[in-house]
Order: sequence, then structure tokens, then C-alpha cells
Amino acid sequence: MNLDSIRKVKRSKPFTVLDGIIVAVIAAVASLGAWLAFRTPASVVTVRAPDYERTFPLDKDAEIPLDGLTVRISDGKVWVTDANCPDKTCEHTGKISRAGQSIVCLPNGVTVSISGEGDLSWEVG
Amino acid sequence: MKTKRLVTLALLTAIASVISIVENMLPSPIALAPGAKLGLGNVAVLVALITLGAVDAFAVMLLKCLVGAIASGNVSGLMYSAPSGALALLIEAILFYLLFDRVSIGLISLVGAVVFNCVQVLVASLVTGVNLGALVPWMMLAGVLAGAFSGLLAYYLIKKLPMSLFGGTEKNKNEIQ
Amino acid sequence: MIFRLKKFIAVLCAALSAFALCACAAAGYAEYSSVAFSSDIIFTARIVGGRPKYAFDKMTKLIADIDAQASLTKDSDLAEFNRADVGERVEVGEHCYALFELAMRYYELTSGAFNPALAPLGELWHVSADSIPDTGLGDGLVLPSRSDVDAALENCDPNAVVAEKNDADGKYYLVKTSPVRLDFGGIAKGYAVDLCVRILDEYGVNSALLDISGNAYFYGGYVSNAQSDAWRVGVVSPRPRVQSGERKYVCAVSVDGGNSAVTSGDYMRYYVKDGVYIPHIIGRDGVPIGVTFDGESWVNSGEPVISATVIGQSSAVCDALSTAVCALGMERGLELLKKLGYKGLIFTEKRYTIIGSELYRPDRYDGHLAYERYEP
Repeated sequence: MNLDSIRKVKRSKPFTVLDGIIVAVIAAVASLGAWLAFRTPASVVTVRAPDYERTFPLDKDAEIPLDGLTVRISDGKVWVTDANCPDKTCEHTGKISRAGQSIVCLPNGVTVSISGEGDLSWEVG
Repeated sequence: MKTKRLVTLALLTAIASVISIVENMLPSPIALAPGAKLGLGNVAVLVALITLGAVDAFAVMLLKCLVGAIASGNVSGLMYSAPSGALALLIEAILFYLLFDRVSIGLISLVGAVVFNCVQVLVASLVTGVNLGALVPWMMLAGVLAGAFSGLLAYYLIKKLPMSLFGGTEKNKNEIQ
Repeated sequence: MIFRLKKFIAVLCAALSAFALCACAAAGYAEYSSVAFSSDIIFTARIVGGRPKYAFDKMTKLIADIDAQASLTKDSDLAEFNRADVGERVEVGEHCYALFELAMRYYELTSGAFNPALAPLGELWHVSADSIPDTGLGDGLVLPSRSDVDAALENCDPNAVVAEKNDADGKYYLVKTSPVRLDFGGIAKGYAVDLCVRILDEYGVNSALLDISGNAYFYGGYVSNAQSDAWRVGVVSPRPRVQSGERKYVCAVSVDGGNSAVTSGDYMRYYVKDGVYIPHIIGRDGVPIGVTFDGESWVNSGEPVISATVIGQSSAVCDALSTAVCALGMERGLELLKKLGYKGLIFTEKRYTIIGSELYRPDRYDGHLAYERYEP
């Protein structure tokens, strides 16, 4: 039995100043790690039209007028408005926000797609 | 005092193992963190570190891991618990001998739990081949809470138990060892 | 006062601990795989939480039990039934009996598009599991005549099998009233997966993927970066039929936990004979899908389903329906899925249609946009 140690523990305080400092350091490291890990991966919106191809960051609001329709990016979502095509499938697609999703307007030859996130969790077929 | 040491060692090992086994049987408190548990078995390891010294604490820790793994039938779990436990205890022992009592028992346990969890994520990453780095912040947070809790438990245990129980008297400082 | 504060902090720590603590946790999927059923079928399980190894071992054992009753290659109950004479009562195990009941239910619901009694036709067309050429080349094979097919169709009615359950001794029997043979190849994998899911429940698993050779089941949310989400499942591109290197995806679908996804297609098992593609899926007319008789010889024609993915709670049903959709064609296949409340994704060489799910463009993407969208 290490009686000296036991007595030392009995005399010690439940918390010390140095405790606080060390916990603060650990908290800082963990917060930094959390920030690094959970920064939303910079998703990119690719807009393709005949003779036109450009990418836009998903997190920045933008309005992209094209022949026959307008692509809008806002609040991390992308959608198409003011389409002049007869079926308006592109407008009906609604707002997309996740990597892998896309909006297509066949009459105007426009595709809008989001890329940047990780790959699949499984496959079939 | 050889017998006394042996008995204490055996007792602490048994307590640590039983706590481990019971904890393994309880469902995880967090749905997304399988196998998540408080790690109360570490209280016994910590008490061993204080009352018996680092070498005996290592024995308690390793036996706890071994018995826990065999009892739960999850022997591959040793892969996680043994290296994490060993490194955590090493750090705890260093802190205990060098910095105690400028840092408290609670903090020593807290740092140990943080190290334990981080090593575990590392091993899991190696085993699964998936980069689990994103878990580290959560695991550190969990380690802070669980470690502080079991540390304080060990501290109050030692503090409140009468000195006579450890084979000493409250007053006499020149104990026969 | 100070003592109280200390006490308060200690209690607070304890309370917090009780909520959110882990001194030992490891996320990330543990992966197991084994050979299931016959030698070319792989059972894969990826498991988070619970007791994965135990669960896996138990699932492997269950699959072996089902195999022993319902495979065709081994000395199984089913093989014994197929060898038996008309009128002979053959005792079968509970899995074999359950598979028969299930197969008959979906034979009815799909109006015969899913048929567990196609063995004679499979052999006639050389597309049964043990006779289809591995090389994909049918040079030495002889295609049947139209009259051969019609003759074989006579013995492909599973209603000729009568199932009996003896309540007194709890035994199960199958009796045939005509020389019919059964093959549960189109449903047994799914049936096995469904039973495996119960084992996952039992062993406290949080999230898992089960896959028996393309019969995938998604248990719980997909865990990544300590977050739980829907599963993003790539659908393998059905064209070109043979892909060298990494497989490409025609698209990806999002699948919620608690669902299975099964794909059938004409590109999975087929051979080429004199320039005609003969796939392994046989339609209700007794002829492989996309194949017709032009008066002189067999030719490829029409717009057959080249890939049908069915998503829903029961893997056995997904398994049966994906085959049935291929056999029925896109329009009627879609109607069937709607009627039964299953989700799905169907491709022909020109068009695709999707019901109840969301499409994605994954990496290694090889264009669903090349297909025209069909909406009835």
C-alpha cells in the first residue's frame, strides 16, 4: 500500500487552477478539430449550356441568366426560373441542394449539377 | 504487506472486470456511438494507480480488458481496449507522478479518457480502413465528461474511505509498509 | 458556499456523463463476407454497433440452412422434390415451404411474370444457373424451336404443386400433380436477407448493409462522419454489357434505412448466339426477354427492360419483383410496382422511369441523361 500517495490524494483538492488551463486547451483542440471536420465541403454548381460552361460556389448567392431560362443560387440551393420551354420540366424539378442532384432543360440544352460530396455508400446491379 | 497488496490487486481487478462486463451488457447510451459507455471500470484502475502504484495499475487495466473481452465474447475488442488503455494509463501515471497535486485526480482521469478515446478512433480507422478523424472531437468531448466523472468518483472514494481501511492510521505518518 | 459549488460541479459532471458519454466507442463499418448458397454467391455484411461477429456468424448459419433446403445443386429438399415422381409426397423443411408460399403469392400478384417453375425453359434456352456459358458465347449451343418452347411451357405451371402442412407433427410436404420442377433462385437470396434482418435486430446492430450477390438491404441510417443519413446507392450501368476496369453507374438513388434494393437486368447473365443476345430472364411467353421469333429464326427486337431496380421493405419481394418487371416490360412493370407500393427504377435501351425515389449523379457516372424519361 502506497500510503503516502493515499494521504496526498486525501489532502488534494478536487479541482485546481492548472486543471482549468488543461481542460481549456483540450476544449480548444477539440473545437478546432470539430470545425475542420464539419466545415461543409465546398460544393460546386456546374452550369452547362450550348457554348457555355461555368462553375459557381453553392454557398454564394448568384443569378445566372441564360438563353431561355435563369439559374438561381441562394441559401445553398439551386433552381431554375423563367424557363421559356413548353414542358417546364426544369422548373418543376424544384430546388436542389445535394451533390449528385441535377436539373436538366432539354429544349434549351442546359444542365445544372452539383458536385463535390463524397461517393456512394453501396451499389446494386 | 505482500498479502495485503495481492488481495487489494485481486479485489480491484475483480471490481474493474465486473463493471466492464455489466457495462458491456447495457445498451449504448448513444445510438450513433456503438459500444459507447461510461468506462466506470477505470475508477478501479485509478484507485490501483494511487494505492498500489503504476505497475499494479497496469495489471488491473490489462486484466480488466482481457476479462471484459472474453466475457462479452468480443475478443477482437481487445484490439481497441488494450492499446488505448495502456497508452491512457501511461499518460495518467506520468501526470500522477510528475504533476499531482498541481493537477487534480479528476484531471488526470480526464486526460487519460481523452487519450483513450483518441487512440481508439485511431485503431478503428486502421481496422476499418475508413478515416474516422471526424469522430475525434466528439470522442474528446465524451472523454472529458466520462474521464472527469470517473476521476471524481475515484477521488472521493479515496478521500472518504477511512485511512484504516488502507492499513494506515489517520494520525501516524510513519506507517510500517 | 465553496463546498456547495464543488458539490454542484460534481453533480453536474455526473448528470452530463449519464447523458453523453463514451469511453469506448468505434464507429465505421466492420466488414465480413462469406460464400453463400452455391460457390459463386458472396454474402457481404457491413455492420456498425451491436455484436457484429456474432450476428454475422448466425446469419451465415441461417443462409447455410436455407441453402440445404432450397438450393438446386446440392442434395437439398428441393432437389429431392424435383427428382420425385408425380404424386409422390416429399417432406421439405420450413424454409423450403415458406419459399414456396412466397413464390406462389408473387406468381399470382405478378400474373405469372415471376415464375418459380421455369426450370424446363431455362434448360431449353441454356440460361439456367448451371448451363449458361460463362464465356457469354453460345457458339456450340442449339436454340430451341418455337414448338419446343410451347411444349416446355406445358410443364411450367407452379399451380401443379400442392403444399401441405401437417399440423399434427409440424411437418411440411410438397406434392406435384404434373412433372413440374421448382427453382427458388429468384427469391431465395431475398428471403435469406429478410431473415438476416431479424438477426440484426436481435444483436443490437445500429446500422448495417447486407448483400447476397446483389440483394442489398440497408439497415438503419448510413453512418459516415458520425452522422446518419440515407444510403446513396449506385445503380450499375446496364450498357455496355461488359465493363472493363471500374464499373460505371447509370445513376444513383437515395434509399432510406429499413429498405432493400435489388436489381435485375439482361446484362447480368446472357450469351450471344449467331449475333442474338439471349439473356437469362424468361418472359411469360417462354422466350428470353428481348427475343422474338420472326418466322425463320430468333432475333432481338422490341424494347426490353435492361435494368430494373426495385426498392422496398422486403428483399424477397424486391427480388421477385425486379425479375417480374423485366419480364413484363417498362409500362406494365411500372404499373405493377405502383399497385404493390414498391419503389423502383426501370431502364430500357431508350428510356427510363423512376417511381418513389430520388435520382443522383454519382462519381464514375455514365449517364441516365442519355435515356429519355418516361412518365405515364
